[in-house]
Amino acid sequence: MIQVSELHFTTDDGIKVLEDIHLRLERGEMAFLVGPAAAGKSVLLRLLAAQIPPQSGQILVLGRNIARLSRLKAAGLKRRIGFVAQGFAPLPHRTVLQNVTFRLRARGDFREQAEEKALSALERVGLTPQLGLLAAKLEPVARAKLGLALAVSDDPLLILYDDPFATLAEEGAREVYATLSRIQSSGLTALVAARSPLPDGAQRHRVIWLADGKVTKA
Amino acid sequence: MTGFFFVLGELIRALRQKGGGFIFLAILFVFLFLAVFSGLFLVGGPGQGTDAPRPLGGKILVHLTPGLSPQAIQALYIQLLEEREAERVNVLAGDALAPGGATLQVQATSPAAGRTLVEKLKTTPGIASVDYASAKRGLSLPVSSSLRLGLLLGLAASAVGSLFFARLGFRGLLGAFAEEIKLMRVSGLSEAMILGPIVVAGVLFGLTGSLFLIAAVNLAHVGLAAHPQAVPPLVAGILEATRVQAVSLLSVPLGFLMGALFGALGASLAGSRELQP
Repeated sequence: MIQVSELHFTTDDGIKVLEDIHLRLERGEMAFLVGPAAAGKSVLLRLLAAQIPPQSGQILVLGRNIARLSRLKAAGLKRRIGFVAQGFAPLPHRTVLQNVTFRLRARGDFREQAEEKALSALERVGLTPQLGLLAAKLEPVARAKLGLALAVSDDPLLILYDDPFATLAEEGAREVYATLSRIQSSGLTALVAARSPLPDGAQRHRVIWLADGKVTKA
Repeated sequence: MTGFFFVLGELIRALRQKGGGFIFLAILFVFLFLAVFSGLFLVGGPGQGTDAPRPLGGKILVHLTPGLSPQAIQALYIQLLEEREAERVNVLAGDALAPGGATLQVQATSPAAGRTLVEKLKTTPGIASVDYASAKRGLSLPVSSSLRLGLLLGLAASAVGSLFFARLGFRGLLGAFAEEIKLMRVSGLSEAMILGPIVVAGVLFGLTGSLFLIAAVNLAHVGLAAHPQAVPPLVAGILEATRVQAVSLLSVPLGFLMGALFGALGASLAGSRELQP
């Protein structure tokens, strides 16, 4: 599903963010990418999500070499990845349901189809009781779940979630992890970036440790 | 295309939150730009600055001697109709054009025929004067050079003003739509699907300005038919039926071009770093 080899990434200022990354994630697997702040987790996730172009090394996602994709093909690949960026902020002046339908309708779904998919996604993450609530009024746990609902709303093959547990208390992190784990168990592949410590139960999945742009333990 | 039109609709709806006022001003300036453009290039040909209305190219205004009896006017009308150089003759509501006398308008079969006919008419009894604009002049009416300069300045000012307000409007609009743009980018929408609706929205704004002008000149043209003396000659010139048609035809592509400029401006703003996820 994901295969990364000899991946390097340097910022415009010459700071090395990622160094010689080798990584492999099998179909249906869930793994955590764990490391301190500025370890390079977000950049790695954004590279895997085809949000930024790689500089050197090879990234194969869903069998496609990201470096060789045209803009159009990269857009096509992105549509099959449910990516939630770090510090995810929903559309504040729209309801929970409208947040999900906006994404689906912008991607070309008709109203009825978008609503059907959105309701299904919100049910999967347990946000059905709050679907009429303005996103700006959501609690952090519900906000993290909305990010997940957005990611799974269009039946992706891969979920990349950057730091879903940030700003959450222990109990909230556990709840979000449980939701994530339940959804992933239906056969999705998921790579989740997080800081240590992970919520209870998350340790049963593979943990890839990242520090100073290098994989220290996979 | 469903997604494209959805994004376009949402973008225009976001005008209610921010940028709507500036976009309205930009549309107003497009209206002004097109109005001045019409005044300058459809009416304002180089001339001596006379205030008197002139006939259109190929048409001859025949001012009859004041005090002619209706029978004499009818006789002249029939005489003109029978001239082989004349294609059509109309009786104008002459008071405003030639105080004290009636005026006939003659459409010549060609510019050369018009000149021949004018020479004939000058010596015809019962005709006070003849006014003929050559076909070369086309749709132009003479305006003074100072008015022409004023119109040129107005044209430049309205173009700059429309772009200025369009930029402010798009900045506000894209600010209100920023999170949506970021979400679309993260979701894998191509740049064409994100920037395309912004360009189309700009075109719609430009076309709205041109539609305002078309509506205004057509309404004013209808109103002018009832009160021809109520407007200055230059305005009356713009509101002449042929020119109203020309203004309408010219406004649409010009409004489209202005709108495309707005759209390009909006798209360049949407490509900025702040709107990247």
